[in-house]
Amino acid sequence: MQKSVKHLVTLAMFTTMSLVIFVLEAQIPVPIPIPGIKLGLANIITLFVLQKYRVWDALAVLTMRILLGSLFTGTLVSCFYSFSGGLLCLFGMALLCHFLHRKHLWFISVCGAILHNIGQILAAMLVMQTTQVIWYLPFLLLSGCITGCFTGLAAAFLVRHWERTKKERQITS
Amino acid sequence: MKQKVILFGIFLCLILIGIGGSYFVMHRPITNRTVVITQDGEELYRIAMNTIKEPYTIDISGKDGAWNRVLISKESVQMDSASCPDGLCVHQGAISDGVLPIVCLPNRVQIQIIETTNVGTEEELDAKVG
Repeated sequence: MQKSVKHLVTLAMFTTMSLVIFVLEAQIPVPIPIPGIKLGLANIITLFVLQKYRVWDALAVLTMRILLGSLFTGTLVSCFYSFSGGLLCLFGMALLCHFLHRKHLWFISVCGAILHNIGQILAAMLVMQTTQVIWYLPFLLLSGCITGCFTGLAAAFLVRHWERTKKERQITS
Repeated sequence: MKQKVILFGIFLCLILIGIGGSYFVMHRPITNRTVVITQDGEELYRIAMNTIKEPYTIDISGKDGAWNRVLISKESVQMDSASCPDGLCVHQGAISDGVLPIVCLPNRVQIQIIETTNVGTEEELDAKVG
């Protein structure tokens, strides 16, 4: 019982963190005028939870972050875009986490970012009823590679730091 | 170690595909551009730009004596002059691609360019299918 409460609170903390990152990131202006290009910093938390906990925990954190995030920043449509991108991204990353070792986290993140962009383009095609938006894909592929690499590295540093502090705490206590 | 090399290779390939694709999209041949002028959501004109020989103007009249004069040529479209108080549509200048439309909010006039490419679009596909 006590453990499940601790687990719940931990996940709530992670949701809060990713929500704050998400809202702050929305304030950063992007110099390239292509919709869909962003840093994707909130994915650091998703990756971290995916690594340290189970897939369902990551799914819960992601869902709550998107729901609350679009409540704070956007509209219902942006919620739909985020969901299609985010869920595709999460399932891709969860699949890759099974096959790849943790030290390849940057690659998992790159794939996640690209899948996120593909999901968003599919959603845009569905909403706008055109296939024209597919021309954004190469640009988003490139930006996904770059930003995904950095968020993946950030998540890897976070995992390493988390383990080190955990080890130190065990030694001192 | 071997896995790392393979993953890095895939990563590089993805970046190269991205760069190549971006280059292709930016330099894709645009054959047909169509100007669509709408007022109050109603389509007034639909003009294929490659059929235009000499630049000419179109006058659009709206409610309460509002008017817009559109200058259209083979290369670009612009709002020549308008009765709206802010003149934002006139200041926007000429557009030649479908990225940003010219919108005159006070008179509810919108000028948009629709690009049809060689690569195949919905309309062409529809024409082929139907």
